[in-house]
Amino acid sequence: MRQTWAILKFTLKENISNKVFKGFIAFTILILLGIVVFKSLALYSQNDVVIGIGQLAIEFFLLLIAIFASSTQYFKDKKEKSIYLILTKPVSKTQYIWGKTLGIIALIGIDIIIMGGILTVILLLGKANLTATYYLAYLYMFYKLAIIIAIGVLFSVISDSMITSNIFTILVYILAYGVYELPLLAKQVGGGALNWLFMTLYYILPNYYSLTIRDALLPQISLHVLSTTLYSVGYCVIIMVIASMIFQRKEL
Amino acid sequence: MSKTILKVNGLSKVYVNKDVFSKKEKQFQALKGISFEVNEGEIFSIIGLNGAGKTSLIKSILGLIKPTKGSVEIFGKVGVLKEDFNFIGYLPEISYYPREVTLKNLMYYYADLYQIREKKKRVEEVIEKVGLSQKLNVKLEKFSKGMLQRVGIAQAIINAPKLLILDEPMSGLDPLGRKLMKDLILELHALGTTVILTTHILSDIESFGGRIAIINGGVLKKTFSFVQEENSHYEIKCEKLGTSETVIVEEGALSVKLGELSALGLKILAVEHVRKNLETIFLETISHLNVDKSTLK
Repeated sequence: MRQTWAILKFTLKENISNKVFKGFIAFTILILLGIVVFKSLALYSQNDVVIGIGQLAIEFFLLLIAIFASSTQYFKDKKEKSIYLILTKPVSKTQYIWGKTLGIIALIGIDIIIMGGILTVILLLGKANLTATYYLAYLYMFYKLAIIIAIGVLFSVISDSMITSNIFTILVYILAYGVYELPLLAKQVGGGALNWLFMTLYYILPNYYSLTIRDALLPQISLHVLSTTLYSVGYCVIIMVIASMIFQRKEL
Repeated sequence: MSKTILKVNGLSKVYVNKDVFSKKEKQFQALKGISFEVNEGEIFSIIGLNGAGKTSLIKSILGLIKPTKGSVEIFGKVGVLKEDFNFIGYLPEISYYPREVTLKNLMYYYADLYQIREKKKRVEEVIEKVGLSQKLNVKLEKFSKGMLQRVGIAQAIINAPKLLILDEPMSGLDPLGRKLMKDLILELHALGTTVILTTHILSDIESFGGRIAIINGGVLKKTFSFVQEENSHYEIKCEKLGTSETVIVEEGALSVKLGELSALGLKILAVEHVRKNLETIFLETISHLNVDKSTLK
């Protein structure tokens, strides 16, 4: 446990001090400021435009960081041989995988707090009326990115190529938004292999539709938050257990 | 009699590369039935050309790759367990460190992985040992290659290991760095640390003494103790009836042989003390291997 914590802390520290990461953050902040400058172009609900585009920009740039960091971390460590320095210490492969993954998840969490904080300040200065759904959107964004980080790590230990790992992670992110359509699609194709394929994908892929905050959910919001929290944590844990099992058998 | 700390039994490693599209398998045998033992407190050097199998051997010992055949016993047990790494220090052939963190943060990280209690004290000790005390708060991006190699040594000895495994420790070091590294290895050895190192810079390990293993093409060709005196001889150039010849005499038999040659009426022209260095032994061993190969063909 202590070793996992040490790897988590160092992964976080290493990524925060990374110049590419700092560049990404600076660029996102510039985009957020840009949105404020151009919000006057919106015909109505100017604050809603800032919220929509602002949160989309934050999620998009953090998605890039999440995919890049998760699906390249193992390859980078192997290429640079720093993985040998860790796994020849009293650290198991499982501790390595969990430490690295949780470190990247923590990094994304901190980013959401920083960027979300900046956007919130901008909106409050513009006298926007911020509802519970606005704040919950950040929590759900965190869940979505945490799941994609776990999947990125899984692909990085399965695949022998960094590009393949990146492509598959991006593909899962895109499919996860349309996963709720899969049972309908399966019904339309009737029986057979395609039906089986769509239903298998429906159960395997993460469901981002349920991780999208909508005003209609407000009457039962506590239950929804609880269920999505359990779903996200459970999904990440299952993916990480699978990644650890595969990594155990992998030669370095 | 000293205890065996490492026992390698018939170790073989075959790398298999499968082409996804053609489904063809490419195999490469990196190690071919290597066996040897290393005793507690000794310096054991493994030498060989690039691609001889040195790194595969080290990785197999450390459990980073699974051998195809054979086994490794460390500290009297088969295989290396997570807990065993508390007593092992390892420096890989080349390793990169995160450039944007300070030496202190990096060393604290490694100390945390070993769960060292007084990590501040221990980090300062090892950093001083490798001569980087002034650089503790400097980011690694400002370090030279030689300094990074010293960082590598520092992380390898932070846990005061019983067994220190160094893969090409002299690589990238300037003469001063090599001297420091040699002195450090000898100091650790004097303190009782068992050192296993691989290298292809032979002159550096002559001074270590200890046992040396020569591997080539994944085969352990020879294991021997290198002592300079044992690897020297005399060459006597003499002349009789206008014909000159050279007589080779082993160390210690010079005066007897000189007497014999004089008694035979030979004129002694010159006596040369020839020292056989490690490079000569290595090249002789490698060339024997080539002869063996051609014989097999």
